[in-house]
Parts: sequence; structure tokens; C-alpha cells
Amino acid sequence: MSDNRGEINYWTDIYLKGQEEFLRRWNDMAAGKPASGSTTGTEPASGFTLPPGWPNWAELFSAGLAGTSAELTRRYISLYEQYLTATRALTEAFSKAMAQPDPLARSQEFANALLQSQGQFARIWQSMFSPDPAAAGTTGALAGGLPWLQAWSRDMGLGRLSMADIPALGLTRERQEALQRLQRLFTDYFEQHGALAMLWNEVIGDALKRLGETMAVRFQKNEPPQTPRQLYDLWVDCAEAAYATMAHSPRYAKAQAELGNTLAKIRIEQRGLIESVTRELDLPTRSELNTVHRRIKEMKAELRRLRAELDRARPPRTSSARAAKPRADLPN
Amino acid sequence: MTDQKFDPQVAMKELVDFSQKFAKGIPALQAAAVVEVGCSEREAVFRDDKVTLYRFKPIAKPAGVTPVLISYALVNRPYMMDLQSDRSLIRRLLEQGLDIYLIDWGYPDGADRFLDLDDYINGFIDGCVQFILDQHGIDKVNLLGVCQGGTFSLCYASLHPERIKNLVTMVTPVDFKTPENLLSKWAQDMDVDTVVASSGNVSGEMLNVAYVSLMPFRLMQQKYVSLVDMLGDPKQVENFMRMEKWIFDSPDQAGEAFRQFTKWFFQENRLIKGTVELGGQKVDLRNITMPVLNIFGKQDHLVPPSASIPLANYVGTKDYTAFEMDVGHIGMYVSGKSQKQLPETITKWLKDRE
Repeated sequence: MSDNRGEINYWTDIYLKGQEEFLRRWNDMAAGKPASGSTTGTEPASGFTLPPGWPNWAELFSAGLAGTSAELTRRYISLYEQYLTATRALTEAFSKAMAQPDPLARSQEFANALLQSQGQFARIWQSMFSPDPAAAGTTGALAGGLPWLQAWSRDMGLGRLSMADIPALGLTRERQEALQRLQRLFTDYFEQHGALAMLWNEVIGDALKRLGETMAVRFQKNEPPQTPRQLYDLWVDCAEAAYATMAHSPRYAKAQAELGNTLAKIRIEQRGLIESVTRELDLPTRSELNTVHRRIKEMKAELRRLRAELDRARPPRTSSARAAKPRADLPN
Repeated sequence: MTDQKFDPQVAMKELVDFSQKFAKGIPALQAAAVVEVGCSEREAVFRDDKVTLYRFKPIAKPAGVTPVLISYALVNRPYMMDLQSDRSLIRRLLEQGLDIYLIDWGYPDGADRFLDLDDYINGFIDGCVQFILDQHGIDKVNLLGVCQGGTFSLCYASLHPERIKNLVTMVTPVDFKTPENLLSKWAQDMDVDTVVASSGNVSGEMLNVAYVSLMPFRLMQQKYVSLVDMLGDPKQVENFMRMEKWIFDSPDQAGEAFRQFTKWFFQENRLIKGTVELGGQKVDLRNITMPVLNIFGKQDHLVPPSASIPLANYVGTKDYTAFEMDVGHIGMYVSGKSQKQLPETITKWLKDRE
């Protein structure tokens, strides 16, 4: 076997260093530090430099990063750090596996490394969809509510309050309730999306396990895949088998249906909000159109019923009448 | 154990070959970007709202068989039955001398959201049947229902048995709650009232997501990777693109009909319980006393055989024939095997009962 570990490490190092530099700049920016990099002539800590003249995007956007935006950016960066760590671990495991002289051991070590990494990536993915803003989740921040409200409720000993918890009173209560329903639905949506994503992570984990087992058998039979395409086709077989097991399970059907149902409810609430505005402007709404369509449908049904009555009142067809019926251009 | 390895040079060569094949094949893909579908000459003979009844021009000596009305599913377009000259079940049936009519349901829009199953079955199908009966001066027509159109045909034949001479069902779900039926499992927890209330009609694109999700790694990835291997053969590319068009040329579903079908058939399995009610009448499969030919695919992942086979237990006919083919759902329409066997089987079966 040719030793290609050096090459792999070379390219992955370049990739990872680039990513780390990218991360460092965003980190500086989120912390309010002046962005540094090749454009400013400072040598970055990661040792990776961007080509001369490369725009410093982070610096361009830094002015807009304040308050909630900065918080979201920090959460994003935290996720990104975890992602880089997991990627680095995967690369190292891959290099270690490639160093195994025995093909079977190499295959098993590689499969184990993939499974471990998959677990790491799954946790990152899960935290992205956490509705709890205390977690690293970026989407969770959307469900967290207003900072002043959270601060006030904390000071008053009320725990964590969000917009969805404020009682609806007065002239705007109906609209407030509609917005609160929408906010709760979005919270549900993020939770359900995360739950479904976790099931998908299980599928990928199971698929990797199956791939490792299949590869081990193939190695034992001296029939390992010879090309990336053969490996890919094996992967698809394993992934479909893993997916089929999950897709037929009640928990997958439930998770998928819950997400779809919540999305439908969100659409209904959104349409309600839009309709309240269009009504004020005396523009036609979907509800009005639905009423008109229902009336037309009822009239058509009545017409069909009357036609059927007329048909029944017609004298029955005779054989001579049948002979006269066909059109000249339609052969019998 | 030999040290058979994943040679980086072999891998690199395959990747380079793949890229070259892809680059060279782009003109073939561009050339096949616009594909024609539907190959047999036909005439629109009857319309009701967006529904069109087509009659195909005869291309062989008449077999002396009562006209056949094909009722296709609402999902996807009926040109699958006449996709291209060498993949056309309709063309093969015409070659056998049959007189073929086909219902095209059209593309429902927002104004059709309240069309229900009664409208489709007692309205549109009945209108088409009546037209054919009037045109030919006959009392009965042969009805061939495909997939969901087969379920509709069962309902129609049960409600109007006096109008149907013979009933042929193809890849038709009857028992909607069998263990292999993945679509049915997914439908059970769906709040279909809310889904339809949110969107009016149900988009074809949403249904396509559900269909490709049945086998996502094959249908969303692998088939496109395999396409690169076909790019050197323009005919194969054209066939691929034609199939691709059919798969994604999906009409929206009239909301109310979708709601009823999902709830009554998938969730409540009413067809075999005899509790579907259309136009104030119960759909009782025991009313189906005319001869029945039930065709299903052994490899069908959309309508598994276990969903079709039980028909024998519920119909009232004494003349029931089951015909299994070793094909999948789509293979039933386009595979070489079905092109060869199916038209002859159907024609002979109908002729024997003329």
C-alpha cells in the first residue's frame, strides 16, 4: 500500500487552517475587536493567510453586529468551533485507520471512527435546533423572547417569560393572541425539526454501522470495493436499508407527521394575519373566495341532480335508437 | 487475506473519468431538455370543466371488444400510459385492436379545491362513461383503473355495476393498511383537515417530496450519479429525461378530494369495510359482480402487492382473475416485460368475456 497519509494530512490541514482563520475573524468581530488578517498586514495566529486583496468580509459586516445579532453570532461561532473540532477528530481518525496494515482492521477502525464522528456531528445538529436559548442553539434564540422582558421577569422572580406568556388584554388582544399562537407554533416547529433531525442522525449512524459490517465481510471474502463508485453504491444500499427500518417505525411516522401538521398550522396563522390586513384595505380574501367556490359547487351539484332526474324521466334506449346514435367519425 | 486496497490512483482515475463523462454529456442533457410525451394519435371527444376524455385513433383491425375506458390516478399525468412509442401500454393495446378512451383529469387550481370524491366518481367518471355509452349506443363499457384511478374504478363499479361490462384494476390499492405500505404508515398521524385547511389544494411538489422520501438515497442521489453513465447514449438520456418529466409533472390535488381520500382510505381503510359513502350511497364492493382482472406488481413499493391482492376477498364476482407481474409500480407501465405480456393478457381476458 502506498503511504498517502502525508498527502491527506497536507490537504486537510490546509482546509482546517482556512476554516480556523475564518472562525478567528468572526470571533474577533463578535467580541468587538478590530478584525485582523492579511488585508491589515497582521500575521494571524492560525498561520493561514488569505491572498492579497482578499476582501475582509467580517470587517465589512461588523458594524451591524450588536445586541441580539452579536449574541446569535456568538452562538453560531460556538457551533462552528464544535464542528471544526469534530472535523479535526475525523481527519485524525481517518489517518490513524489508514496506517493499519491489515485491511480488515483498517476497515473496522475507519468504520468506528466514522460512527464516533457521526455522534459528534449529531450533537451539534441537535443543539442547533434546541428551543432553549441557554443552549448553543441559533434557532432557539428566536423563541427566547425580548431581552428586557427576560431581565424584568428574572428580577421579579417570575422565571423565564416570553412574549407568548403575556396575557392578552385590551384593544389589541385578538392580534396579540394570534401572534402568540404563531410564536408557540414556531417553538414547536424547531423542537419537532430537531426531533426529526435526530432520527435522521440515527439513520446515518445505522447506515455507517451497516457499511462497516458489509465492508468487513467483503474484506474477509477478498472482495473489497475497488473504486469510489463501488463504495458509494454499497453506501447507498446500506443507507436505504437503515432508512427503511427507521421510516417504517411509528416514531418516525409520528415525528414527520407532527412537523408537517405544525407547518400547516403556521400557514393558517400566517394567512389569518394577512387576511386581517387585506380586510382592512377592502381587498378580497381567501375566505371570501372559498365562500364563493362553495356556493358554485353547491349549484353544480344541484344541476347534476336535476340532470340525473331528467335522464331518469327519458324513455329507455331501444335497439333502433342505439343504431342511430354513433357519430359518423366514430367506428363501432 | 490479500492486501486488496482502495488504490488512490484507481480512485482518482474514476473521478477524472466521471468528470469527463459528465462534461462531455452536458450537450446530450441539453439536447434532451425538452422532451415530448404521449406518442399515439388521439382526439379530445368530451370535456367537463378541466377534465378531458380522449379517444385514441385505431391503428389495427378492431378486435370486436367493447370500448375500454382508462381511469388514471389524480397524482401524476396519464401520459405515462402512452409515454413513447416503445414504452406505451396504450399503443400496445391499440395494436391489439382495442378501442381506447382515457380520462385526463387536468391540473386542478384554487377554484377546484372543493371538488370531492363524489364529483370525481359520480360526476367526471360517470360523465365519461355516459358519453361513451351514448356514442356507441351500448349499455356497458369496459373500465380499466390504474393506481388511485383503480380505487376510483372500484367505487364506480360498485355504485354503477349495470354500466360496467368488465373491470380491470392495475396496481390498485384496496387494503390500505398492510405492513409494507409505507405511505399509509406516514399518513396515519397526519392532521389532514389542518393540512388541507392551510393550503386549499395539496401541491404536487409536496407529494413528490413524499414519494422520493420513500427511498431518498436512491431517488435523490444515486439515480443522478448513474445518469452520468448514460450520457454517452442520447436515446437513454432522452428516456431518462422523459421519465424525469413525468415524475415531477405533478398536478396539485383538489383539497377536498385529497382530504377524503387520505382520511377515508389511508387512515380509516373504509373501502374494505364498506363504509365509503358517495352521493348518499354506500360503496359496497360486493356489488362488483362483473368479471374482474386484478393486475399488480411483485416489486411495487408504492402499492405493495399486499394492498392489491385482498380485492379477491371483497368483490362479489364469481369471475375473478389475479395477474402478478415481476415488476415495480412504474415498470408496470414501461418495462419491456409488461409491454410484452400485459396487452396480450388484457386483450385475451376481455375477448374471452365479450
